[in-house]
Amino acid sequence: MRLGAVAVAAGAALLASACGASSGSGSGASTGGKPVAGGTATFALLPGTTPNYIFPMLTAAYYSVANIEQFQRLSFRSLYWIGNGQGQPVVDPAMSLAQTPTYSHGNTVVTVHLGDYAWSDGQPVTTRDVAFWINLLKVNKGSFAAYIPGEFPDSLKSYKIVNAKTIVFTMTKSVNPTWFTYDQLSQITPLPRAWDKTSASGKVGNYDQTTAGAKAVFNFLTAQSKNIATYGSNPLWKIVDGPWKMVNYQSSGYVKFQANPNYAGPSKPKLKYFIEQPYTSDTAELNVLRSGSSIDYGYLPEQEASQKGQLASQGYTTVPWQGWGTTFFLMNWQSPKTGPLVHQLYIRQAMQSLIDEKSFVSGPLKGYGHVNYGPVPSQPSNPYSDAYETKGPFPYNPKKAVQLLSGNGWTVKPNGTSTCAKPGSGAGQCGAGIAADTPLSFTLKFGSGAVVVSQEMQALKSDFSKAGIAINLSSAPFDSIISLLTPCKSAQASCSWQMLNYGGGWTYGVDPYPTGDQLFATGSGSNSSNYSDPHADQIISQTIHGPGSLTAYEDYMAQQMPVLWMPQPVNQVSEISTKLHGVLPQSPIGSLTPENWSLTK
Amino acid sequence: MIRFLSRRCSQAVIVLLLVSIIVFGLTRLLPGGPARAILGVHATPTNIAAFNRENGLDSPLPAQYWHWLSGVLTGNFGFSYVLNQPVSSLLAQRLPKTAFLAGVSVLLAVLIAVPLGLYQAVRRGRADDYAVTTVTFVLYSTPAFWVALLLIDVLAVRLHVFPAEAPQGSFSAIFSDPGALVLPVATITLVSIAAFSRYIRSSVLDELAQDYVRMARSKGARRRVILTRHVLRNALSPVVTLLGLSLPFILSGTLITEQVFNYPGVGLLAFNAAVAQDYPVLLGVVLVVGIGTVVGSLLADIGYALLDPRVHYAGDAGSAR
Repeated sequence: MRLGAVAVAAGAALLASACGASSGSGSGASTGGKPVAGGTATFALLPGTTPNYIFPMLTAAYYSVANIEQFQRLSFRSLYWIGNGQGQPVVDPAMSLAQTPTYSHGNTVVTVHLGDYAWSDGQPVTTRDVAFWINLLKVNKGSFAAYIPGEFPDSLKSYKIVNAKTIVFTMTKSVNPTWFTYDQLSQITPLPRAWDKTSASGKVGNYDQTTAGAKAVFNFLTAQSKNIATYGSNPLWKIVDGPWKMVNYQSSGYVKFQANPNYAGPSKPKLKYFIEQPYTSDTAELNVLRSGSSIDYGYLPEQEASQKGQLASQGYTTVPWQGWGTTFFLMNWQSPKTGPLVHQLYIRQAMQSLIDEKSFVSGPLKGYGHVNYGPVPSQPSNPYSDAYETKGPFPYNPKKAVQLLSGNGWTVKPNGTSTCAKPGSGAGQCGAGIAADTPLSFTLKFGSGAVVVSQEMQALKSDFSKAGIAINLSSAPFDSIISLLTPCKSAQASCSWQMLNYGGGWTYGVDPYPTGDQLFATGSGSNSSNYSDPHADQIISQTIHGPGSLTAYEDYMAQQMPVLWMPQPVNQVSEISTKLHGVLPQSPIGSLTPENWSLTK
Repeated sequence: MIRFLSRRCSQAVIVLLLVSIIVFGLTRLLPGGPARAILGVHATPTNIAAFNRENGLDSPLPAQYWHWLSGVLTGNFGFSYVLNQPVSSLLAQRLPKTAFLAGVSVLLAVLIAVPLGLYQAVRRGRADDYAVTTVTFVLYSTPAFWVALLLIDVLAVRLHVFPAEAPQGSFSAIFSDPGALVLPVATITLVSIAAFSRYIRSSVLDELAQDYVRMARSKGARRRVILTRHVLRNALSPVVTLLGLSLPFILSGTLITEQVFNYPGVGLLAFNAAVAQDYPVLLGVVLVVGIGTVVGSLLADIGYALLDPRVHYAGDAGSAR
């Protein structure tokens, strides 16, 4: 499932925030000071990331980090918690509701054992609560944003409740255990039995066990979730199994949580209250930080990086927040005009060799980012990325780019436009579909309004010209750019675009296993570059339904470049009060765990 | 007057209908469409189709417009799929905040600008007139966001006299934390004074050149009496017009201040709705601002008549003359 890409300028704005998902107390941003019993910590929300949907089975319109990782999961925990005490995007068994699942029968049978957790109304969290989720999902899967046709629950042959703590899933096909645990089971959120009703005044029953009943319950809970004026008072949302219970919600997005004293997890809240404070603009948030009041955990807008010193004097520590994603821009493989050029591997490799990622990081990104050469992020530290991809098979090297082009039949004209001198598909020739004198030229559309993207594109145009690759830049409003992202065929009028940079890429949110089934598999819904490669399809399939590891996939993608890789910016530059402890590491998938936090005077 | 009012109200309804049609059409011309804007860059065609179906965006435009209009007539302004709230609720929460902020600011600006403009007119061409003119022009030409940032830097960051953000929470929070509203109000007041004072100054100068002023002077009337009872009353007429037409400003023109001071009012609501292609909210705000403009214009005409007995409303003409 996807959480959407992030415009670099608005990048932080779409992603969001928060503190480390650690199973222990976590390390703080500061030391010293007299501990405060209880207290209230305030977290500044990025503009446009206010939480506004509480029911965990949410539709695509509300599917965001702000709603899932920074709102719902404070109160309602899923089976598996992503993000460990080292800030890695891996399952943290101690923080998870369930023990590590076991796979058997050729990875077609999955057994899940729940830990000893309880709802705040005193009822234990049981496998019936898991079944409640599954029953609702089976009937209403089309409304759930994370649903992928053919996968869970379509691939669920049956489930069996063995006892209150053990449930067994039998699948229709073999699954890759890591993928299934990380991207499928981690989304299952047990729901309290008190929600199994079809009206506010109705009695609780087993409505979820019939199709009509499951539909009615889903509609009721969805309607309740759309009534945000009642969020702070609706008894439905008071029954939680997470460490926090919402006590006040305002339409502006302001949320106040109170510690749940019955939380059974490994880290009991030390704070009494946790507040999420929305901000109308970066300027407004920065002004409050500068005045040294009310925010315990905020952010420094990247364009205001020079304010870092002043904020330090106000008692804040600056900590970049690494996200779990990859950044790239698109080449249209189906473009009638430039598609044949894009299909040539050596041209893609030449273009990648002309992207000076290190300069982008130190320049436009002001150091808040890292180089990125493939689909699996190299940062934060993780068990998936390998040296080949991390180092990048085609780092910045203009000479290499020129060699690749001239060795394949092009007359290279630095600072001009190279042309095909040797048409044909043989060795040393330009390649299939490329006629003699074809200019090596692309029109690249990018989203206007983002300073970082604009700076990067201007630099890229200059660098590409070193090998005579002409880039005609064309900026347009972000909404206009993203309207072109629907997969298309060359005969369609909407498929005429050549290159597109919306300033983002892919964020691995609640689907942290960084495979490419939604992004690069042939015909997948988010394959906006129209890339299609049978070998890529095969190795991607192996990562979700076979024993394949990510290594083959990431190395192939780093070498093939279905898109052109760009440096990955940080989610946000966090400013953490020296009086707030336990925040670090910050979760790579954007979760908030204020139960680990504490205050000192 | 009643005939005039009924005629103006009828005109207003037609104007509002036209405005709503134009805005409705323009919003549909925005690139990308709301589904892509809301669902994100990786939304699949299936996601987008489902969203359009759920929100009636796959219907023909006239049907969409009629659906919206019939809802408005029953008090239903639609539902914001971005903010997950009914538009009427959003307007009910945001309008009072903006109205209060801008109302207090404009009132203060007028209270300062009227005597200032009068003083300048009386002292025309002297050093103090030039000094005040210079200051007001500087304020007039300074962007509101810059004034706001200066006030924050000095009074919030350096001196810690006032907080850097406006009162948070519901409308009632304004009264429990009035100090937090000082800087936002000061920002709007400072940038508004110049316009009002220039109008007053110019208007008073015009009046001072009138025969009735010379007549009053020749009859020995005291200067203060001439200024306050005769000149000022007549000079206020254009300011009343200005105030009447300021209602849209009251509703939407505080955008910058709202943004800088983290004050979620209706101006910011409209701006964010435009960015996010939140059509129902955009239409709701435009309709309310349109009503404000029409009502403001009407109130200005009425105020004109009350201030200037020479003005009356001819039933056949239907307008001030």
